[in-house]
Amino acid sequence: MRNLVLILHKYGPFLLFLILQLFCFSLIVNNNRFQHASFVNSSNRVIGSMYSMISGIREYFHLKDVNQQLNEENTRLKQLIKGYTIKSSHNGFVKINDTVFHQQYEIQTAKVINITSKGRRNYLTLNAGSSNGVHKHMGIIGPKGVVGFVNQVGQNYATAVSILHEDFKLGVSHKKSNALGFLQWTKRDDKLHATIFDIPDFVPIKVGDSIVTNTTGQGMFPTGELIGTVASSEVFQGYHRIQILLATEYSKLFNVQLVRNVKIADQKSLENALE
Amino acid sequence: MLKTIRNNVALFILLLLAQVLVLEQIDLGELSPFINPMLYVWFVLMLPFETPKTLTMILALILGLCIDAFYNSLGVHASASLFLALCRIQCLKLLTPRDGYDSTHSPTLYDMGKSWFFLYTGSLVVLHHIWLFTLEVFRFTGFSQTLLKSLSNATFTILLILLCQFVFIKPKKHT
Repeated sequence: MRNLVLILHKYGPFLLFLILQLFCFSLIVNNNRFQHASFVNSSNRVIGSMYSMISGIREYFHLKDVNQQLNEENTRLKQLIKGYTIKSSHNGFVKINDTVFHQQYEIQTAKVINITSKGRRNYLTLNAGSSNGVHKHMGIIGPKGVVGFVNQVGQNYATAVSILHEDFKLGVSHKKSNALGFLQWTKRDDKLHATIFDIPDFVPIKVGDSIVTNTTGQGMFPTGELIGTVASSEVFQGYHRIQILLATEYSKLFNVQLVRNVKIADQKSLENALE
Repeated sequence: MLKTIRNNVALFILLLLAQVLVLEQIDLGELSPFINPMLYVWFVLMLPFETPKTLTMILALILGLCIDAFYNSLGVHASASLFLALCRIQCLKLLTPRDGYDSTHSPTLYDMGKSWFFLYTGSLVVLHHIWLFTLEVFRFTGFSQTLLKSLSNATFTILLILLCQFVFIKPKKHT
């Protein structure tokens, strides 16, 4: 008994260290399963409101960039409209596309109030939460392309996993050939690039080709949203390994759009029924 | 005593805010993973010599958890600063001057002298950063890259701590 007390006296701090360290590791492991909900993150009220205060100040310094992005997006959308009218006039008959009953995706805007891009697991904090109708696994699209998806929702704020996250995985397709692959942010990639796997090597891939979303993923994004362009590719065991230049510039991301898939419940219940 | 507590609480809050609201927002493009100083460790380094071991660890853990809450990296910084606290305890034991620590002294450049200060700050910051960045990638493959990242970040952290010493701490007049 006396020895026990002596040992405790001598190694007490070290034992405390071990116990607390164990606690930290359990936190890390739990947090790594990144869909797992935890309370202590930037979607909670205190931290969220602090970040939104700071972003309120920071916004003024970036007004020029934001304007430029909005202009570019406007031009792109205008071109789309023009292209559409020419196309339909070539058809012999007018096809009525009833957008009200077939609309699958709803879009809502949000502001990015904090963004990390230095670590291996990067997140965004948005100024919209459950009170604005945001929920888990909604896709996020920036002015130039796909950004990430929502993973935790607080009342007024939400955090999202960006493409620059080790565990981010998304089904994508090569726009020209429609070949399917998946995207991951590997250790080799910096914050401008990501890697596409699983496209077979007989598909011709050229530098500059677009990589877009498809619906095989979680149904988070509409088909054909730009993710990035091919920067380089190499063949590895019968498959391309393509490094792409991401369309989104994470250092200049201020406004994003949240995508709600109206029919996700339908899709999920069918998919679950299969299992 | 009361003054010490007040000063340390103020330092805690100031460093936390400086870390998450200023340092984290600096974006240097390609270089930013390598120039990402962790100034908050200065709090643990600046605790008075006579702080109990248990208290050092608990304070370090709380600081780490606060940083984690902002960085969305629950556990990583907490574990690293806890490790830092243990290292500090050992380091203070190893670096004890001949007649022990003077209770009016604090671990600053002015009180303890150049060689003591650089040995203390340098070794602790490097150990903390290696632990932190290894834990961040959570594997040992590509350890050289992690090591490079830790060392370059540690350099900037030490420079920043040195700068803070000069700016915020007045040399005491020894009577």
